[in-house]
Amino acid sequence: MEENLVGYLLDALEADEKAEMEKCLREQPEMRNQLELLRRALKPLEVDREQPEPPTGLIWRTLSLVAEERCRPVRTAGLPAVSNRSIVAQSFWRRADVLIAAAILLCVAALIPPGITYVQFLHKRSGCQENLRVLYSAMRSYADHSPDKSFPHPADSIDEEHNVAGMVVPILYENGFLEKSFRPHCPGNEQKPYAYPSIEELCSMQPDDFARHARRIGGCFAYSLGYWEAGKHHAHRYEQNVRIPLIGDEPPADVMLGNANSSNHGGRGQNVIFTDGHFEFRTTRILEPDDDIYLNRWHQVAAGVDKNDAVLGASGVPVK
Amino acid sequence: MAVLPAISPGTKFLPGDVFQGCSEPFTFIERIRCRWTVDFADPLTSCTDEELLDRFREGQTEAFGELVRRYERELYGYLRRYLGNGALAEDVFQNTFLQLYKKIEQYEPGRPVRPWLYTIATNQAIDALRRQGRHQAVSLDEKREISANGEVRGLLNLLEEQGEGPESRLEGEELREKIRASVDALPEVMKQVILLAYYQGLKYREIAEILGIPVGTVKSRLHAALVKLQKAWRELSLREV
Repeated sequence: MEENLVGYLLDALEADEKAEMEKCLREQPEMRNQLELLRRALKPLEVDREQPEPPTGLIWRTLSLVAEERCRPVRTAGLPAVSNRSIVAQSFWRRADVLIAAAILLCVAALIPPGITYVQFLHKRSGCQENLRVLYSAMRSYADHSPDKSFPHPADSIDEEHNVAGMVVPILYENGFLEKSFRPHCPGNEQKPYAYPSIEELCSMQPDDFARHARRIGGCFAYSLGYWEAGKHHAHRYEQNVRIPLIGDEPPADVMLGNANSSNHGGRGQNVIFTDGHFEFRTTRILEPDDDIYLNRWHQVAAGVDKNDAVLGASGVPVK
Repeated sequence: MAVLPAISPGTKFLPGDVFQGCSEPFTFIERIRCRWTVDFADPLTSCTDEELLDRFREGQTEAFGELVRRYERELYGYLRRYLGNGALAEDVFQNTFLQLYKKIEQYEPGRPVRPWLYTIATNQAIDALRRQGRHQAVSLDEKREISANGEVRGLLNLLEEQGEGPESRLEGEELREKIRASVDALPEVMKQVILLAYYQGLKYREIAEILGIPVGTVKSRLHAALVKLQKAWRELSLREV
């Protein structure tokens, strides 16, 4: 029975065994306690549950290997008989190699499903990473110039009504840390060109106009909403060996529902840069059990409830 | 030179073709690359694994690529954990699909593909470990320990006595590394079932098929693995006090 309880917990039982186990669990409180005990016992394994990221181009290389096998008859058919005419043979070999390579390429092309967007995905992901790196570098320069090493934070300099996450970008522009030609843009999420108003213009807009701009100024990235400590709102600071999410891909539209990934990369994951500059493409938005990068520990899209509770908010999210 | 409309499913390429919407005439490779990066509904994505293999056997070659894409993350993840080495996992992943291709004629239509693929992958992984001299054969003592129910202390008894887990003393990357190390330290037969049942989410019946052992043995190996892990974590917690 103990083994079936473990199987029930891991969803490893067949439908009939599962139904039988559910019946036992309904009828026997002792068994429910045992199940809870087992659930707690398995909990440490959760910290390493995320599947390791496959290396770039693995599909390519795998299909090339298979294609080579498919093309093997071409290779054997193309091999010349042993010849003394080394110059002619050498030249033939070069030609044969080219033909084999072309045949393999054709085989690989035939093996690839036409709808596959993997190459596109990799290309867009790396473009997005590049833009986030530029943004981080600007934020880091800002932090280096700030007396307490704080990263730029709209709550520090913008009035409450206009204090949204994406304001980080105009702050960096106007303080000269970011080239005005740079756009916080992920190639996986095409957006129309946008002409940036100044902070002064943004702050003097009517609420409806501002709300429209607020959603655009941060592009398709998400920014730290800071955290609360001793009743005060704070920005994260640069500290060596402290790794807290600072910027990343914007959250999915239904951020509160389930734990879907950002839509910037087709739901496969999101790029995240941490305060120490560490960079990751995370296939899940859960950093650790009960630590969602898009929600605070109280499951709100709002500032963290303490220093270790980092939350990244989309451009138009109020920083509070 | 023919000027073709924007690329669509079924577009055939001929030497010298130029495609609209592209700034420069394509080379052959660029044409292939462009073809991949076009988004359109792909009926293969809605096929089951079994249908994909059927289609591949019937000559629809791209069905094979879809199968590789579908299992890329899952199977690589399994092999990476099993072998504890990224480069080796990549080699074994590639060899798994090469073997699948070579054995395609042995595939019986309708047979579940997932356990078959895992069987090939596991055998390839064992071969790779054997080549490196890292494969552990199951010792008689181990067999006795795993199968004799009376000799293995009940997991629940152990848990009732157990204090706090390692997560109460460690956190973050350090905890992750220690947990991974404790799974890696399991005897190979126990590690296999933990990986397949916990990390890969397979059913007992599928694991039995993959490893070629009875379901009862899968259950007792998993049970024994959990007992070993609990003991390892207990030692870890005591050491960190």
